[in-house]
Amino acid sequence: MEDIEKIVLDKIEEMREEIIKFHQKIVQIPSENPPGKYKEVVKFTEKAFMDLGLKTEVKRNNVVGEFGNNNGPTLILNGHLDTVEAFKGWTQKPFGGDIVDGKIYGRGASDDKSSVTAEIFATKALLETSVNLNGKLILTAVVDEETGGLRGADYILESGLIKGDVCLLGDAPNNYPFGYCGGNIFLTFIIKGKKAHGLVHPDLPKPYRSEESGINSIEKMVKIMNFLVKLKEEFLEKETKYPLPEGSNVTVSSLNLAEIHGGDSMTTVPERSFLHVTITTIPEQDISSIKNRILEYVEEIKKQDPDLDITVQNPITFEPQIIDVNSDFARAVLKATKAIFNEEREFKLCSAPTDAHWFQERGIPTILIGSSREDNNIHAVDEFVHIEDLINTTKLFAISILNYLK
Amino acid sequence: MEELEKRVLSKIDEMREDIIKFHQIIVQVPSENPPSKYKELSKFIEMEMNKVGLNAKSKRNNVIGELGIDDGLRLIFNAHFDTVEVFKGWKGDPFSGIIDNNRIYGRGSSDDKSCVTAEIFAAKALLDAGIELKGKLIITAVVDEELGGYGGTNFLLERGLINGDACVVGDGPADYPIGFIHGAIFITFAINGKQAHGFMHPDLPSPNRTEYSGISAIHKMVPIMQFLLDLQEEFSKTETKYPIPPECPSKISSVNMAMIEGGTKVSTVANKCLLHCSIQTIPEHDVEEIKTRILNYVESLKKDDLDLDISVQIPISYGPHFINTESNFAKSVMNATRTVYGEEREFKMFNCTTDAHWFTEKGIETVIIGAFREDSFIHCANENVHIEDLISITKMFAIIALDYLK
Repeated sequence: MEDIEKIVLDKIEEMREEIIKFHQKIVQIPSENPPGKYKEVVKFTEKAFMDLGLKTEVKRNNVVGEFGNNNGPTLILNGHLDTVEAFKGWTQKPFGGDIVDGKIYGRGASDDKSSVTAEIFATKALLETSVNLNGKLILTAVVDEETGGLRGADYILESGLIKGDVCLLGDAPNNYPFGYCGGNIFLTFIIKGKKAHGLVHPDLPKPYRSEESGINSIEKMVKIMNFLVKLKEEFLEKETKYPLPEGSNVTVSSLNLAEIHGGDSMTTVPERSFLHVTITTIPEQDISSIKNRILEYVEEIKKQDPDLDITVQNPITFEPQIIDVNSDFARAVLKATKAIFNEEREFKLCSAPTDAHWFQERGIPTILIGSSREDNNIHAVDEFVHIEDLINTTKLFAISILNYLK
Repeated sequence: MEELEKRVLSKIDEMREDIIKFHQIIVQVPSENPPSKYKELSKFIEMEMNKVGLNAKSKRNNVIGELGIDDGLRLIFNAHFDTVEVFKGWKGDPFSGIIDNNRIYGRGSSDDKSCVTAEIFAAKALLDAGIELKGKLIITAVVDEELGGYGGTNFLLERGLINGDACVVGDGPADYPIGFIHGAIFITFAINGKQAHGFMHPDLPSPNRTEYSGISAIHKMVPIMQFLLDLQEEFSKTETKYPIPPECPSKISSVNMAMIEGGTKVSTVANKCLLHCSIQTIPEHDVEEIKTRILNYVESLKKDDLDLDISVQIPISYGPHFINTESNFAKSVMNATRTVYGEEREFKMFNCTTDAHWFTEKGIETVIIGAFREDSFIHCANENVHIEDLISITKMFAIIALDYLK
């Protein structure tokens, strides 16, 4: 380990109690999404950025701070402030920030306030040890990640509020950096049928149809569902070569029929049906060819069935991303893993959608480093973060920055 | 035509204005189901039956009147005064009872207050004409038909509040008596899956599974849906040989997937999926056999898939019912159609769910008559009844009773 790395890591160890206290406080401020009331947590974060001496700006509840110089590249740190709802059934206080057995409990303790705390204290450690950085560091604490990111990460990039060369994003499992991201397709199929009395005028084939016959939108969805189930089976044949994180053995693309809704009365032919589907792919999968196959299939069955009134919406698609392991950025992060874990740790594959794609789509290479573990109950009751993971993420951020902006 | 029949028919013609006025009044009193507020109308009907001299009483809003003697045959008249909700899209007030173009408009004007009016005035005509019945006529005006009949007809029969040798259910199409009643199965499939993060722990087969993997209730519903579609295709191969009325043109058994609900969030593996179906069968199909086939199929799926947690509920099912066209009751009905319409009219088949099955299940010979036509818009906006049909159906009730209880 280089001396300078050791100095920064020692600094973080010194700040341990301060980091824990700060994290407890930020967890105690609710920022559930929905409803998306962020005022207080934003003020708290803004003050933390200002206390570091960052040039700080708040736009639509997204907090951005920067410092550094023009002697090198710009690195963006990203974490999100919004959390999913608390839900019911906690045995701990959902906004208590209480410590039990080396864990801090509360909604957002892991996902993803841990990343916000870590980026602030990584920066603080670098500032207080007065290391020389060549380049610029931009800290971002955004909202709206849990509901898509259009008003968070996408907004600050699209509006030109931030620009950068690379991005370190929290919001990931611990122990390994994530350099490979699968692709994602969100699809909604909407079928419009014709309402009719289900017993008197059911949806029947010719010659048993009359003018009054209904058109059953649920029954028309079955073909689509069968097609998607087959597609899912086909996915099983192609395994990724990219390494998976601990605890995961999903080596293939997957398809989830996430929601279906149709009909409103037991005796009626259902007029409208909705099917919401997500597809998560391995990095080797070509996203646009899947999308095209689905859309072509829909066109084909429309041709066969003039009664089929179907709309396909595709609100979100993003391509897989693969980090160049020989880039300066990748090497800086790998070197950081060695400093913290005493061994170099390879990049793993991240299958959950995060805000990373907003950066990647804009050509900003993005690596994910986070604190969450299988047992953290993220999106469930009794969410917590292990204090050790919080400290490690802080260290990984700090040393990665140090190495990249050296 | 017999002298007595003439006397009764002319009584009904004399009462024409009273019938219309009475019908307007009961249409003006809302009795939507839901919310099932029946007090006002129930009291009114009881009072009116008593005015006629039918010795009426009411039980849980169901009104029962009677006339005749305790010896001899017992004939039940049945009609329901609960209606479906108003829904939207009416040209005028849905409770106006207004007359336009020889029709009376309002929710329930056809389905099924028309038959409540008709059965009361049929009884009144018999009394006013001085007819002495050689048996008992029981006049029932019930509730809860639109939601299954448990609190209405079934309640009266189960509690022994009514019993009979034959029954005329007034809740069918105009012009023809219904002697062949289809079978029906209402069936709900409920699948429990296992909720999980849809991207991180999708529902995949081994070796891509871990203990965290979800089980998609929607995916598991797909084979059931396909089975039901195949069943429909098979049904299309058998046409009923029984005559069908023009209002209900379907000659084959039908499956209606009426409602489906599954999943709660687009990023989650669905832990529940509910599919509600109705199946209606032509008299040639054996309802029990169809039920057994469906249940056997579900069992075979369960055997092949240990993760499949499915329950099948069949809240209502009943077999087809055929009138014995040689019975005295059938002959009385035939005689009445000849008297009222001036020609012989054959028994038709009806494929709509009414309260009739409650009687047939108890071994009570049942026919359905009624006043609705395609343009009566039952269950829709602008429901109406043709005044001529209202009068004809009153005559049908009266002459059937006269002939059967002579």
